[in-house]
Amino acid sequence: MNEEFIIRQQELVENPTPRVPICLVLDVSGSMSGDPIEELQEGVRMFFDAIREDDVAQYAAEIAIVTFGGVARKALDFFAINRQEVPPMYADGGTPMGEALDLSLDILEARKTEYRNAGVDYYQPWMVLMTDGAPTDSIDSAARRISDLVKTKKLTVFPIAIGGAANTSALARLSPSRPPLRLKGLNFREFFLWLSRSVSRVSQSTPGEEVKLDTDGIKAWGQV
Amino acid sequence: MIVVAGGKCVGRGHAGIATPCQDAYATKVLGSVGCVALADGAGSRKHSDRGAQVCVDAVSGFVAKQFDTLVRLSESRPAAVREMILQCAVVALRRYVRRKKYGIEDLACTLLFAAFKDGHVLAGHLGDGVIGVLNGAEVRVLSLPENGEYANSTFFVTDKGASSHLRIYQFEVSGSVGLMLMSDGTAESLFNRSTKDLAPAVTTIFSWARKLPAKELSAVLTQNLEQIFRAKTSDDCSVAILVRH
Repeated sequence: MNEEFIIRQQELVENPTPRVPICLVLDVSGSMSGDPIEELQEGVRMFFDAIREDDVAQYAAEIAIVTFGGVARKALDFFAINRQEVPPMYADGGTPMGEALDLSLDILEARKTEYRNAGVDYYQPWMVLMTDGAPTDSIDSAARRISDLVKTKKLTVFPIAIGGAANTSALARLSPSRPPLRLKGLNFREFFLWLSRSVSRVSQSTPGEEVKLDTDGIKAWGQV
Repeated sequence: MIVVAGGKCVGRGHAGIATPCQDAYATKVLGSVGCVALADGAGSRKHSDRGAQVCVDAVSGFVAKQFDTLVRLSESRPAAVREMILQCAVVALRRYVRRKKYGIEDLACTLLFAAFKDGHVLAGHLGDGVIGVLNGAEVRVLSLPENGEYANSTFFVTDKGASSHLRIYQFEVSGSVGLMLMSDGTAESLFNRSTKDLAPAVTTIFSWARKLPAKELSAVLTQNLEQIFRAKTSDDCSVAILVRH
């Protein structure tokens, strides 16, 4: 091609990659002590590594972590994943799930506002809730907010039960569109690898493209 | 003299899974009317590549033939113009699916068009992508993308209430004029989403229309899409331009 008719890179614009905000809402109450908390920590670390290794998702995925064990707190704020470290998690205290969910919804909403103000496009936010017990506070407000958001396609939520003692009826209230899933054993790693693949698919989707979940992949780590 | 040209190429995301390019464009010159149309087929709809082509063929022909009527109506009854354009697209899509085992929803696509005759410009836009305009030395955005809240959402000609999203532009210009339609894949390189400005490359591309005949211009546009623009997105890329100089 005649060089006169080739566009040079400096004549083009650089747009930020559209973001996929993901909030992990993780139970770190006393009952998670021992293997569960260690496997959870390792699973989250693998999730971050898998996202970092993905050509598109590493720029698209933005992850925050809210933990609840005694108190609900933001353990990690949204930021570029290459500059984030997975925070250490310690199991202790009760299960203030409602407070943690409200906090997560607040920070997801705030992040969307920041994207809009900065002119950054974004995909539907994701929330992943993992718990091995039952809430020790009210989840009424969070359940209402989540239901409204899911029904209007403004949030994708994955409630995951860990072990047999997890209260799946409480989780069902937080998942109006699909039944909550139970982790097979302590297969956190398989779950987080599946999650990273799902995030990767979303981050490459184009207008009008319905991103279907890899339901076959769920069988490796979960069951209804 | 009116020059119309265009190009398209399959995106990296589609090439990997053997999906056809879902962008389509059409060019038309009918007497003193020039018209270009471009459409981006909806990602998950099975036959949206065909829908996009059917849509641009129908709309470019219709706008070129009915230019005077549409310009006149756009001043007094813009809603009627929106309805006529959409009717044209939907009727063509319905005709296409008549003997098929699927409905027009499977042909969903966006729509952009621009036409020029004797100092009058008529353009329309439904969904994402961008329309740029050159008048004299000034290059500016004529129509912004409409995406809905999320990056993977937009509006299509087959949507209920599509006419409320079809934006019609009609104005007069003097001297040389250029109109550029681009799909969202191409806009990734040519449109700054934060500042809402066009890239300097838009001016460069318009300048090529003064140097190249339509066929060669289309070949050059296609090569740039394949070699330069495609690297900056996983989506399909397409562009169509109309220049009167």
